[in-house]
Amino acid sequence: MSPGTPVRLLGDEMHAWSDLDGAHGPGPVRGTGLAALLTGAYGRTLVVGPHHPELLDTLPPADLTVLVRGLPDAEALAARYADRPGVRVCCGGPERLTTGPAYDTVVALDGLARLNSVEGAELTWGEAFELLVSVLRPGGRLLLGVENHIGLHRLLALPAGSTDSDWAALGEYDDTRPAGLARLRDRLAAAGLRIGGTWAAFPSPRAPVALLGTELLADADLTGFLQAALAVVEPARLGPVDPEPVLPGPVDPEPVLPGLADPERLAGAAIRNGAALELAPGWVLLAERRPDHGTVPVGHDTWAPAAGATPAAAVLVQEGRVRQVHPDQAGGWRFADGGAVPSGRTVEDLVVAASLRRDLPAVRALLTAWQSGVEAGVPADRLVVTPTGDWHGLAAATEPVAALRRLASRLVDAGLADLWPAGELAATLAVTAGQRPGPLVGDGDDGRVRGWRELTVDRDRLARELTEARALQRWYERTLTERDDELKRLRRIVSLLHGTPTARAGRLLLAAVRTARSAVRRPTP
Amino acid sequence: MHHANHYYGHSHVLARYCGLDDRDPPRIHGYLQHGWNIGDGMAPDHEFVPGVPLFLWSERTRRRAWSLGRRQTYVVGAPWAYLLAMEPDGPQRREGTIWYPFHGWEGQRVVGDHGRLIDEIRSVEAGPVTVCLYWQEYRSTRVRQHYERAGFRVVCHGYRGGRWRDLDPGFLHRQLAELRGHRRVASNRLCSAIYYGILAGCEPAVYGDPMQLAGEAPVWGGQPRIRRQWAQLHGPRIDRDVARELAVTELGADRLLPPVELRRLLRWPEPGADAAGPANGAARDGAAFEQATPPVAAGERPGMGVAR
Repeated sequence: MSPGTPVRLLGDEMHAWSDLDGAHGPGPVRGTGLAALLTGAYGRTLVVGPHHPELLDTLPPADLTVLVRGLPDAEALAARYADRPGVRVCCGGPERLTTGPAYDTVVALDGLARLNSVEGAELTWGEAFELLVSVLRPGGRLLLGVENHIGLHRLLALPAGSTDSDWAALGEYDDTRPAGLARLRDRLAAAGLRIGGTWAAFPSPRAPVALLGTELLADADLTGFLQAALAVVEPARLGPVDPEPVLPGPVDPEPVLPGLADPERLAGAAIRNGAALELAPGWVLLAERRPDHGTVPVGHDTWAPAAGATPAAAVLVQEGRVRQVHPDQAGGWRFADGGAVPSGRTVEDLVVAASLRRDLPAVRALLTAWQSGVEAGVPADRLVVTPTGDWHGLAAATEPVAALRRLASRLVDAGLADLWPAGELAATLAVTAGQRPGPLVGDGDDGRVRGWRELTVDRDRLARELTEARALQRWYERTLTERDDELKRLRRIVSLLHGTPTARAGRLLLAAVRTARSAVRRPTP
Repeated sequence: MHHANHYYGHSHVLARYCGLDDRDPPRIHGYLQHGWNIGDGMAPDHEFVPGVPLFLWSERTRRRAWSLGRRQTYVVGAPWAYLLAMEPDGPQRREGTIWYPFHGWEGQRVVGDHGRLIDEIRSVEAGPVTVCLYWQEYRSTRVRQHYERAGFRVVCHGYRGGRWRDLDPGFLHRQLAELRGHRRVASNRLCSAIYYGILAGCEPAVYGDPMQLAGEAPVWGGQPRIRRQWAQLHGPRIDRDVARELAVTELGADRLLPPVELRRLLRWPEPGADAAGPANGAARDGAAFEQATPPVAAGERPGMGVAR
């Protein structure tokens, strides 16, 4: 460590603890998507809680204070920023922060649950929140991450064991923690904060790859786009791994583990039903402390950040690329690179609706158009058809066979298999799409995370198919037995008839005929 | 379960508190913390068997132990706090300072200048000084005479006990009697004895050369961390209210369990459940205490009363 950047020991520091290495808990909050929201940070900036260093890298380094509770983390960060004199790394409990001038920006994207040290006071959410507000100067900005305790990631999770960081985790039983987004926004308003933006974080609060603003989520025309945005397979990454990482440990991906159900499917349903904000795994709020110190009556006083510093309406990380969405002055929404955000529904939704209507011509038209077009390899759940009939792929194309199998698998998981003839559904879809009949060849892995619900659907389907197969087998056996019996009876009759004088005379006559015929055919020498 | 559970007569104190025969305390089904430390509460050389619970003194130690990967961690409070709860403080006269020079444990050797330490003690302490040595140092005539020649009274509370052998149920009782005879308690390192003294009503002090164990490697941050984290407890004069608050926290005196809960946690029998059960006076004391004990607010019990 450079002698110019020692760690400032505030007290209550944890001597042998690391949040950043991911060995004692879920690792730091991370992801290039969140980095896009940090562009609004300015001036004297404070970061509290475990943030991946690549997030810290995006903050203005002229006057940056970082507070972590573990000494190894603090030392690693101090070494990383040894050449940046404006960066101060502090270590200890949050209650020791109260000295010094107020901050222009306070960043707590990890939330407030991992600030306390085992050595210090166990601050509640409310106490930690008040502390952060108290160190924010009037007019300063707070960027706060909050986990939703009834978010999809929790609703669908299997019971998980506690981690080393759960020594006194109150979680949803902390009465000082606002329950739900509406109360959270009220709490911020009551503390004198004006909200400038709210984003729903998917698929996890700590490693989101989709951050969707409330206005975007409220646009019903974007159902297909939003569903496609949440149909994310890849975990959050921060880009290339540092060849010589300052911080040890696997911190980039948050593994997507099998849970009670496929999270993508439920996320899609949440979008379709307008409940994505309520069921988001987490929220990120950008707020400004009112310059006049006043509190705001309940009713969400909002604040519009100045032009040029307007945060994105949505940030998506797709195939390692960050895509930001902004409102279009002409109405609608545009990507930062100029492309329009498509309105409409996904091909999958359209196929499902047509199937439920039993409108086979419509299904055939959709599948044929999809598989004969350039988007044949784009998964149907990530392909949007606009009201004008344009097709917009929102994911990279894979093998068309894999896309077909993925659609078939999702239709089966959705409980729609009985709308189709029995057999391999992907092959049936291929035929409906105008392809030659035959077994599908190619990579069949659709890369999906499946849960207990899908296993149950599979089990029920297989059990039904087994019952039907057994019934069919019994029918075959019964039919076979009947025909065997018939055959035996006929053979007995044949055998009986074989020894009668009539039969013998007949055989002699036949023999004579054969001899005569061969004599006639024999060529004359 | 582990021989360290019987150090200093800890299991005997808890047996008495629980109304059981303290001449032969039952087996504690778990590991009982036997000294104040800044790690997970257990000794560094402690061997762990998975699934065996840890009985720790304080909530802070429990949190720390959990963060270090320990599970089944339960706060019971220090046996010292239970002893004080059972032994009400009398109106005896307190005088002078009892001084605990930092000591090594079995097989360890302290490297330091006793002469310089004696000079520091003399410069700070106005009244008579009693020096309490660990049994190893006490057996060393050279070390003992060093302090005796300085005019200090030299005592030893006894042998803490070996592997289930030579147990000394009277250890803490002797220590309590000595502490209550002194106005101040001091040491060159913050240690269990300082916290014990604070809880027993002494004014604390931590000063002087902290000395070193031969080959000592700082564990969990060592002395620098202790001096930083518990800075308020260092110096020749310490705020008594702050000290008492910290001692109550570190010894878990605010977390003492009622006997029935403690018996349940340690998997001890109910009094009288055994045919050869308690018949001595100590057991009857414990049973009587059981009826009077509140589960918390130990600092307000008669036994925890502190002469200030």
